[in-house]
Amino acid sequence: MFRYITRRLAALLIVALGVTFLTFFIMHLAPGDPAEMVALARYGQENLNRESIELIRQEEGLDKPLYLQYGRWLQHIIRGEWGNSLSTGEPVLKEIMVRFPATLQLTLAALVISLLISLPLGILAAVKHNTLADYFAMTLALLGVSIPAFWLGLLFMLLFSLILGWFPVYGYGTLRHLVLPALTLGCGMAAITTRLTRSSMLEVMEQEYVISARARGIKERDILTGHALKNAFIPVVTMLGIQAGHLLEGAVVIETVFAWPGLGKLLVDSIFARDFALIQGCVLFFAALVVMVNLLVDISYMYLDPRIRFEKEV
Amino acid sequence: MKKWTILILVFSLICLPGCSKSGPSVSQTDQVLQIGIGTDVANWDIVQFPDGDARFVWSQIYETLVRLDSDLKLMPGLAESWDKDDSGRVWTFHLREGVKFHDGTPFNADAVVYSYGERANVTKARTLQLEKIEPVDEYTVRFTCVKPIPLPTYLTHVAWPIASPSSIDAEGNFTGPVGTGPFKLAQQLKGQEVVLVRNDDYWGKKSKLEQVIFKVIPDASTRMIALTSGDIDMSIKVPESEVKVLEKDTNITVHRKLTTFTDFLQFNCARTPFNDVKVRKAVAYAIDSESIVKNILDGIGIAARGRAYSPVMMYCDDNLPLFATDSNKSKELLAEAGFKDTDGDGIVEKNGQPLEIDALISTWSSRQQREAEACQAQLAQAGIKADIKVLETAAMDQLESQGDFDVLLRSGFFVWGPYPHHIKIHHSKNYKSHYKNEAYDLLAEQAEAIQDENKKAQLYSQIQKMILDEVPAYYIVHEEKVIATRNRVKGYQITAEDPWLELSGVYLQD
Repeated sequence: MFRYITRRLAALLIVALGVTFLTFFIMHLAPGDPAEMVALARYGQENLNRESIELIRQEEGLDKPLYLQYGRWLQHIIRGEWGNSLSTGEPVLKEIMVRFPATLQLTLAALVISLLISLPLGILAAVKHNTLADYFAMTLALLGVSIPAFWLGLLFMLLFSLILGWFPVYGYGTLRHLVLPALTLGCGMAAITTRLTRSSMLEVMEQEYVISARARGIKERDILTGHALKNAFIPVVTMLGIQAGHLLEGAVVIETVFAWPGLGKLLVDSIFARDFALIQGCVLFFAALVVMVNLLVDISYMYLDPRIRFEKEV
Repeated sequence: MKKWTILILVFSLICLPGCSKSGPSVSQTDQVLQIGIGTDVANWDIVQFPDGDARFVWSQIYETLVRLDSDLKLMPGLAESWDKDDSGRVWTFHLREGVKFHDGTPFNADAVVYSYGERANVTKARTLQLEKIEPVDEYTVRFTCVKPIPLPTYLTHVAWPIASPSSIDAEGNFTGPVGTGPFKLAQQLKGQEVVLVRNDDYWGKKSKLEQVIFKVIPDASTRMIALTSGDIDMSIKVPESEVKVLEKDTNITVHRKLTTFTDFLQFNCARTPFNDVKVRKAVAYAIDSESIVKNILDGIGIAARGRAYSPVMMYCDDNLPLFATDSNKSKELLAEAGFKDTDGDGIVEKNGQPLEIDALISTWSSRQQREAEACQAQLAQAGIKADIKVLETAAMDQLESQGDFDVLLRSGFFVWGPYPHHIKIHHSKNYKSHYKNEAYDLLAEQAEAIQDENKKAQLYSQIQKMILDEVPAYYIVHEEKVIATRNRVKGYQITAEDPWLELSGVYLQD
């Protein structure tokens, strides 16, 4: 177990290196001159001229070959220096950490909400397979996938804030602020998880151990909770891991609609500004997060299915 | 059950510490004005140009030597008066005495020298080209410019304000904004809010407001809902499409005023088809700016019909004949330039090549996208096929730098006060001009340099006429500034200056 975790953490290094390398070069393939964008951020659109752009290119080392620029960034990051944002001048790590709590809160709350909706609904749909309840659950899931998040967000805002006045329209701070963005995100996620729970449950319910449990006369409810559910969870947990990874990278649309100060908007803004230090920092941070989340998911397999043991793999 | 308990416990452990970090609690009866803005303040230091809505926040903290009244007349700011020598290069500013910065340091000539010294973005960007700046005595500063310029009009811009030298420490690191304005910075939560508190030692009329909180709400629809629900008291930069809805709300007042900004189509005069003035004019006659204002912008703004200067600007010549929409004239001009619809597909051709143009607009303005679509439809009537490309700034700048486009839709360029600085856009030395005309360059330089006011007005009138004759750009709409407040906000008077937010005289009363 311990060796497995160490090995996975070592793989993190390779993932981080690969992801930041790719991001760096792909971003340079995108149109736009980084020096011009930095000049734009510093002096404003109207005050740009060729001389000041060239000066910035030299000052920031943007005139050097790309591999040297990447090498320099790598050298700094190994020493633990994340650098400063090119456009705001603030330390990159500070910019990220200021927003991370908001992202983490939203991610966890949305996950919990999506589970609260999707698990009962998915199980119900599987148990009452091909009944009205099943159709109802699947219609909800279909709606959940199809409705765009920004629209649902605005609808929730109109209903719960403007008309009912239960929650604040936007913002960050208290649990009341968290409800609407988390609900909007959670609904979208729940749609996928519901379908997955349903199909996974259906599959498990046909397994031989379930049939034999039935033959032994065990109550259907106990079969469901004792035998089926845990086994059905493995694909669901895998999916949750992937979704959580996505969410930690930020739910840009939700963040924008609810003025939620998360990481997603930071990354998107830094891409628009061609702020390489910040882009690289964000990407590295996300890579680490996603690897960690997946590690947690893998470890949870062991708990869900005792047959899975990681030592044997080594 | 146990699993759930653990899960909830873990969740609250993670959530709650974050939650306790909420902003200062605000009771509704306090004099605390909450204003919705779209972008956060990314920086407070004069080394960098404050972008987007940050400037509205800066204008509460920082002040400028010269101020503008609500109709853009120059008036004393931190300088009580100013004079120039005969050459127009050397300007002397007499400073207001007894003014203190937020940290108690006195405002004096040294602070002015610091604010326009090497660190300042206006100097670094070479927008303000100074030979030297020197203190004459404690309250007198002398600027020597490289060439004659109307310096006071430069010194009204909020992005180039007076900051205290004490805002940097001994190592030269910036420690925080220290201005002289009516409010000072209390707290900033990145991406959330900026809290300002009243400067009780303010030299001018003190505000009745105790706090001003700028709430960062990126989405315009959310800002409108927040205003309607009373979560915020004021929203700046209200989209034109929201005005009608807000005007119907009896709890809300919509304030409008014509600003110095004018949206325009800028042609790439360096390549076909717009290297031919007839084709540029054909576009001018094809576009119906009256209808754009009426139908696309809900009547907000004024049709420019080619006029380069907003009527609120200095030297705007109202007597010049403007373009009147005339699609026949447009077709005639195209025919003269060799473009005719020979195959009957509705698009004119020359040598078998259909007249198809790339029109670039940036992603950040939905208003411009709607304007561009209207132009596209109007151009199609004249037989010109326009392909609209909505691009992010970096991509747009690259195409522009390479000259790989036919026309750009821009909102006002290089405009902040009443002086027509923006005519520099068509000067061939500007790498964004895409237009080369020595006569224009000469006129633009002379107009800025000349000292005689009558001659200056004449020269600027000639420039306006030249823009109408030569059409390096077709100016479409003079923009209106729209700010909405809830009725509890009293005493607010909108100003034509943009970006500046004038809050003197504002108070709250339920």
